[in-house]
Amino acid sequence: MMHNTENTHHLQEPHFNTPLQDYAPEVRQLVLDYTLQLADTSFILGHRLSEWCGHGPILEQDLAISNIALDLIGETRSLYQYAAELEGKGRTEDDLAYLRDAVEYKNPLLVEQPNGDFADTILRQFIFDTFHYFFLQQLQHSSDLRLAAIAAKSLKEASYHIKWSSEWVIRLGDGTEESKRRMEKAVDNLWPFSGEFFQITETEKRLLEQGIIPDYAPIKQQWDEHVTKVFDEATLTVPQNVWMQKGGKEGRHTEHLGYVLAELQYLQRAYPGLEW
Amino acid sequence: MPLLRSWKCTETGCYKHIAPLGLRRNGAPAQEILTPLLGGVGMGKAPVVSIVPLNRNLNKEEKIWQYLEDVYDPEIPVLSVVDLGVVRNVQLQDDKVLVTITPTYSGCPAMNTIATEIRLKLLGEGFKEVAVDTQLSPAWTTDWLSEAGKEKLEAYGIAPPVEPTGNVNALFGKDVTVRCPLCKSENTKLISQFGSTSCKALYQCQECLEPFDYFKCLK
Repeated sequence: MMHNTENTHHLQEPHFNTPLQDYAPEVRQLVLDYTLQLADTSFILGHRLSEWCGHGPILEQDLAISNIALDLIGETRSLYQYAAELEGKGRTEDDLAYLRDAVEYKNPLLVEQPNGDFADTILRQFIFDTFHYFFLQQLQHSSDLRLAAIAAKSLKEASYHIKWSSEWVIRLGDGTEESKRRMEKAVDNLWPFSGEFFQITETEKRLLEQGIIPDYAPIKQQWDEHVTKVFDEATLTVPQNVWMQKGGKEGRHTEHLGYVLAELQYLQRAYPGLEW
Repeated sequence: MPLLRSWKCTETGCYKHIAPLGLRRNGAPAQEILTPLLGGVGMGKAPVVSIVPLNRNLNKEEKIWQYLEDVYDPEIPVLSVVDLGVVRNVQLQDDKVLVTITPTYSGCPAMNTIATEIRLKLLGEGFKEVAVDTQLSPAWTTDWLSEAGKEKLEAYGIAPPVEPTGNVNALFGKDVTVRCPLCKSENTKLISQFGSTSCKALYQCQECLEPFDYFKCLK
């Protein structure tokens, strides 16, 4: 495949050499919606983590959090680029990130929750990383070749993330009296947001029927096992029978997302098309 | 420099240059270069390697590979993009060149710069049109770092990647023994899995006390 002269002028726009799959229009729309949901999830969490940059408790952890943020934003870019191609209306990854409103964002509620203290950030990350890691392991076998490639790529990075957040849950949970108290508080705060990853939406149900996305039930089992193992080690108790929040994956968000987007999107909203 | 033969893996489309008599430029046997490359391919599928037939473009393609050896990673300026193993393919049609690269880390900010540098280098060498494509699959692995690249890394003060011995999920487990690039002691400790760039971890030598970067293994 050789690009025409016009394309080669766009230095910053990566071209992917995987052709789009031949989907029926309604399936294509489902894959598009789902790709946006995955992109929004990594994007909002990546942004939340980037808020720590320069504020981390110690330099090494500041670097770690910023690195994880960078990996997630990288995954986000691949996903938004794919979504833009699927949509085929000339929107770019930047349009999808900077010019959609809160109701159009389909991230689970957990990732938009504020950073809180270091315990909140660690626990939020741990809940997400554990899902992300086991989920990507399955998604890399998707019949959608682009999603499979993005998953295989991100999985290598996610395996460092789950290790980092698991170690910190143990360090803080089984640490000082104060760190334990704060971890317990974080568990109380965030546990109700841990169930949404496994609650299946109408879009997900149809993609599952098409064999494009993995079944969440075995992933939930792996998630439970890992969380229990780490909590045991951390002398923390896994909460039982907690009522689970949901709605993010369908565009119903907590008030926090609006503030995140206000900061994220301010520049492009105020000065459309601004480049630097 | 001996004339290099170009090998193409029919699965990844990746070219590897192997000197005659099965030896690579740094003297390593060809099989040792190929085995880790192939080991990183696909999901257990056996890849097929074929020798690219000689054709009229080969010399020019070889030249392009040589030019690419002058394009350096902006964050590790001792490694060329060929050493780094990010160049997957070079295609030539008249004066048009298509270079396919694969990202090291999804969020690595150096990738845009690398794509731009590749274009500028080849345009500077007289090619009229140069495009750079991104290929995600198979995902980049540190196995694709060339042996010469690993030596250059260590000489530059960055410990090259070491094959992990344990499970990557082993909590608090020390995965590997990393050698201090300065005094070569193996008595080193991990400071942080995350370092100055996505691809590095922070270590410190317990003997000479030198803190150093480790180019972490990505499988």
